[in-house]
Amino acid sequence: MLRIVIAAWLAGSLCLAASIGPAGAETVLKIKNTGDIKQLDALFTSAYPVRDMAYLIYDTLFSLDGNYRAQPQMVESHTLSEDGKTYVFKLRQGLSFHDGKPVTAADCIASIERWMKKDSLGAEIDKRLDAIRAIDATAFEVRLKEPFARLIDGFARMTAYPLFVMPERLARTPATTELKEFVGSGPFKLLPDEWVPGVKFVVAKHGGYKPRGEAPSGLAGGKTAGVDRIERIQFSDDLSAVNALLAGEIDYVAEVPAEMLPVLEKDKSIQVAKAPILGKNFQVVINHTQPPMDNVKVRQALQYAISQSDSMQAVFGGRKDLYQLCPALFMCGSPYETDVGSERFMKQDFEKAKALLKEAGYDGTPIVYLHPMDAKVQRDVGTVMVNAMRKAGFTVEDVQMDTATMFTRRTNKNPPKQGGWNVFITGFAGDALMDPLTNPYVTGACEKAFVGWPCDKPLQELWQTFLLASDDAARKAIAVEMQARSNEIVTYIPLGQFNDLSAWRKSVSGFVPGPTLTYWNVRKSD
Amino acid sequence: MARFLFSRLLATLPVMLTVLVVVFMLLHIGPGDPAAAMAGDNASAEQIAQIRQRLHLDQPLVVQFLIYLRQLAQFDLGVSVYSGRPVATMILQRAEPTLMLALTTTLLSVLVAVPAGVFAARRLGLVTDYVVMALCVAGFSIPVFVIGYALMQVFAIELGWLPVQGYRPLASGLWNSLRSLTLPTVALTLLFAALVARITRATLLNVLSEDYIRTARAKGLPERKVVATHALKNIGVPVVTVVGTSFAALLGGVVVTESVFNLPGIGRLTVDSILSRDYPVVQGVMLVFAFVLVVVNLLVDLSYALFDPRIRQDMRS
Repeated sequence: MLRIVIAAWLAGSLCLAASIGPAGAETVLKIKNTGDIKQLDALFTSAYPVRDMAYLIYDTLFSLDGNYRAQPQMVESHTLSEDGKTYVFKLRQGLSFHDGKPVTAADCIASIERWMKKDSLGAEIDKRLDAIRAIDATAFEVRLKEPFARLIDGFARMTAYPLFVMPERLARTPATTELKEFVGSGPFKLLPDEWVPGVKFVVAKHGGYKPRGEAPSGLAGGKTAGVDRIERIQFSDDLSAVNALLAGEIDYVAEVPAEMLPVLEKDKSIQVAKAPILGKNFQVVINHTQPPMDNVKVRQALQYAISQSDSMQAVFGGRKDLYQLCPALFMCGSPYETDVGSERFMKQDFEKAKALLKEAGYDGTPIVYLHPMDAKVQRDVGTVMVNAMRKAGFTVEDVQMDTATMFTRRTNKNPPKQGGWNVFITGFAGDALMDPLTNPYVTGACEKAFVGWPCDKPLQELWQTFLLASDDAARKAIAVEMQARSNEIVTYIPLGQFNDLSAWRKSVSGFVPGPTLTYWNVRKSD
Repeated sequence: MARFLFSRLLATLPVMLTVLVVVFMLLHIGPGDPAAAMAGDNASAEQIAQIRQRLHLDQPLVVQFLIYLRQLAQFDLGVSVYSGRPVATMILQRAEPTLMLALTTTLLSVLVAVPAGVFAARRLGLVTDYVVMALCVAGFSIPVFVIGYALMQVFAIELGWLPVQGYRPLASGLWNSLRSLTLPTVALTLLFAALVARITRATLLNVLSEDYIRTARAKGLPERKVVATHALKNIGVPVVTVVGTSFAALLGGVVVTESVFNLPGIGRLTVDSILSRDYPVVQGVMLVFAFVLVVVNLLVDLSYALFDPRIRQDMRS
């Protein structure tokens, strides 16, 4: 037994030693990002850190460019039949997986089939699918029962869930079973022996990757591995990460707390800037199924109670350059930006809130507010929020807890006295919120909707219309209607838009602005 | 002696079983659901239910406990609900930094604190005694993260002599490993040395007032010899007890120190697992820690025989 323990310890030690990485001419980009990579099957979690790392390892048939338009990625060319029902896709030459095998049409088909079982847009494609078959080793055909203009958008989507292409032998894993082996054809390959959850996640350049010829744009265009290795180091303390950056032990910190800016801005070897991504938004989530929030007047009173300005100041203090007040449910700076119907939550007015509460016959029933204290933004913004609600005439029961408890409790549909809830705050990245098809709040789908379960037939119909709309102008018009309806019934209330502050050593360059942060094309000089 | 050892080891079984039941119940009765945390923000109730089913979390608590016991009977601590990795492997991967930090801190604490405690006791009421005791109070009172960040600022960022963060395993070379542990070891030593020094001083003062010490002095032995030959070995039992307990506590993981210096040790594994409700990992860590604690206590008890012949006699009989 003792021998086994010693052997295991030695193995662990060697594993950690290996994770330091070889010295020499190798360029290693060391980054600190939020969240841990505990697993890598992107169909089993919607966690952004997993998805973003998976983008390094896997390639996609299509990708969103910097303007959020789908562009071919693994696909060389594609055609659509005149009746709008049959797509033919031809893969680029020379694509290979990290195990050295070529990417084939069979791999793509198996990957699509697994993805369709999990993704909501994939399910819409599956509903309309007549047949999918390989034409030859690098071409395949998708035949639909009816025209569906969203097929390529689906193949390019990046939010819950992207369509990552993997070898057929792995893609044949049932969608209900989590993958244990991660082989992709992206610009970086996973080094599984060096990946220790909670400690480090390591990828190395995939020598066989053939980048597209176009300039990089968002998640599309040429993906070139600019460094030999990327080590994503796990920190549990922000200050330690900042100190490591100052000492040159790491190269990039994705989220720097605002209070540490003065230290970093003084150092001439460090660049501090907003993360080059669309941004984030925190939102007030409301349980539509429980009184008194089942009353639309009470929900509208809540719109008057909030202040985006106060919420953002709770996070960023006086640094107004770090956030923006944004009336758009689909994010400011996105194709579907509009301010329609947002007047109530863009101007805090306690008197109007009180008047609406009176009109609704609100009797002072306590609003159960779920308040995680281990997540900085939710903690601080929540404190502002609770105070504002009380000033607006709500009776608030501020239930403080940790995030894991909040995650559990928010799924409870019982009345608040039986473990349910009324209101909480959460955050989504802009890439999820910017598209009505991925924005979780605007489906109006009752039981099937995101927690809060807004149930609204007009919104459901608008969602379906948006899904089937085939041109940009029509989609924009429907998105405006969706925002108007959503604000009217108060599906959620945005609390301001911001970008995380990132800091990196000036020896690092090449970040590509886009919907999310990826690390291909990033280079590191001595 | 063998009988003593056997009876002590046998006594660990109820301790382990109690730990097992208490930890299991605390985790499962408490709020929080790994399935919800695992599924992420976008997950539907259906997806969460699927994960719960896969992890047997939909089963009654008794059934879940029996499943866990069956695993343990096969020497299997289970797998992490998030990463799917064996818990035993995860603990072993994180054991080295914690064990090394515990060893270096204990060693440095004893090397610094015992002479300091003796020195203070021999100069009772003099300035040097007050200085040593003041340093002990400071070491005990200043939070370890304050000391940690101060050390980091001076020796890692300003002077660049030592790394800011991270752990270099033994396999990368003893020197590299010790360098990466220097700052956390010093930060923790200030705390533990203060404790050991105070105990050493207080115990030695007690011993020095005993009759046999007076007799030794009356025989004309020089003070140095009185302390070295007669007094020091009699302070062994309380000092070893404190050192042993401290060592066991260090093995349980020092979360703040591990976080400040970004050491991938047991402490961080435990806290991360608790926050994410990774039940098998928390249960596994607690079980291993309870076992280590029992073993360390047993070793401490055995070491008493080295210092006290009466205990040696008791063990033999």
